[in-house]
Amino acid sequence: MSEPVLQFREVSFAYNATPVLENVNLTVDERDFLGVVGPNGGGKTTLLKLALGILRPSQGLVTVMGQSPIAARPVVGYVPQLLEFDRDFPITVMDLVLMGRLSRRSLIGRYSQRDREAALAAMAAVEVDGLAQRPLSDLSGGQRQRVFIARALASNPQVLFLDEPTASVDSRVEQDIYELLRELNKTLTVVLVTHDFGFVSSYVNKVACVNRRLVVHSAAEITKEAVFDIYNRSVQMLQHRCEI
Amino acid sequence: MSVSEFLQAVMAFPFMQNALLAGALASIACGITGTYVVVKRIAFIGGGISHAVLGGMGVAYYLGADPMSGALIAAVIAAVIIGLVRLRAQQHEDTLIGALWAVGMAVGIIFIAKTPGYSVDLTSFLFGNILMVTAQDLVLIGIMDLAILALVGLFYRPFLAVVFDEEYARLRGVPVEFMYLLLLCLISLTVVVLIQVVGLILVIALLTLPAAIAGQYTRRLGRMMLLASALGLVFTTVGLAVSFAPDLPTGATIVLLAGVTYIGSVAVRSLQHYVRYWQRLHARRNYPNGG
Repeated sequence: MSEPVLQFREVSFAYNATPVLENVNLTVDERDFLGVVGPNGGGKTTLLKLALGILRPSQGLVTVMGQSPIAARPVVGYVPQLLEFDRDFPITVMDLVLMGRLSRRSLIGRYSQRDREAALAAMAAVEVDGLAQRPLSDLSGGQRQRVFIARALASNPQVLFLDEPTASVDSRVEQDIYELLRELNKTLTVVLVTHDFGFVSSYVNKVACVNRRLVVHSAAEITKEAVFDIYNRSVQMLQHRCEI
Repeated sequence: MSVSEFLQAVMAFPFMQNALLAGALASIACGITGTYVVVKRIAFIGGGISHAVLGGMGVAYYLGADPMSGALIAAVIAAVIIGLVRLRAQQHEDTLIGALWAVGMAVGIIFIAKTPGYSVDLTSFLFGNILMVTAQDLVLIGIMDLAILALVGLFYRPFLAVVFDEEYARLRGVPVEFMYLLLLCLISLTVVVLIQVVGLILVIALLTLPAAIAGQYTRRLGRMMLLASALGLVFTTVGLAVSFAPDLPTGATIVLLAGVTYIGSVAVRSLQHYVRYWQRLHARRNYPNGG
């Protein structure tokens, strides 16, 4: 049995004195597609930042591929929320995707031919290879999202973390992105944070509901017939916990 | 004054040749560094560094040293302080920059006032005097240009990553803090170069306006640097030519030229935008079935 891709053991986290996550246990295995859902301020993004090693847990242990999150960064692909970016930043799609090829050992000078090939392969995987020389500011919301996924793929990661990848696109594009992630999930572990549970439920095999505490639902519980039922129930559970 | 008269003056006076060359060399620095300043939106940091520099110049002048070496030391110190506060404290960054800005100037004014002997012309520090640039200054400016080119040539990729997305750069193993401090040191070098052309008060204009204009016409960082440098060259050269005969302050003339061009460029771009919008609207009205 191989190491879990991502594991939280008894993890708690607090910003100053405000507890954000309490006693969280979570195991993500190879080729899982995990959707992390929950209300705003419930700790979804904190969970992701702990997994990336941007934040350190107050208590407990986070491991990625059996290593500390920081040590595992080279094999992790990350797609941040795009709402924070300057859309007019002067950069081409190729240069943006090539950023995924940066590493501690490769900082000086130019990108190698291998880096360029890997970037083009990543763009092809998400079907934006035709856009390589276009400036970022020319792209639609969906194209932009794909380009950022390509950047995460360019380093050939074993796990992909995405923070609200559909926050800035319409529902048709949203579905395209989920289809793409389902494709990528054939070779990759995918962890996706979203506030929109309804859509994601038909694509993932595990759902983690986070609102300070965390409850994992398995694929068996989220068959298509039960989706709406679970959605309601989990929302009720979350609200219930908020009152505690 | 005609162009030929200006050319005659250039041929006749070595100080005019020095001034032209100083403008050209400064354009390289301002085009490259200014592009980072504009896309990273840290013009206020540039302003803080350039004004704090007066402290170093004042102290150096008081001690009888070269004011430019004092400027360089003060600029690097200011850059490191601002960088560390930004990276470590993350709060009240703007307050600290404002304080550094004013305190640096206050130190400079006091030291200059207390310098024995006849008092230095403060305005040449504040507003620059490109006509007084010596051959020795040119060598120094050239060395700083080379340093800027070398740093950007070596670290183009991590600079871009840090300027675009610090968090992602950190996840990819880029030493973000080091690169950020290095970027601020680039600004320091550029400030010292530009002080000799337009003076420290007007540095911020050459650090932002050419790059901001360039940014309106290209969506690639490298081309933005080239275009900004070319614009810098035009502004310094034309500014020098225009100010020469009527004996206008050269630095102020250069900055005014850059400012007017920027405003004109914004106006033209807005107008183009509006015309295109109007044409689309018009086309749709004439061909209601999507012609």
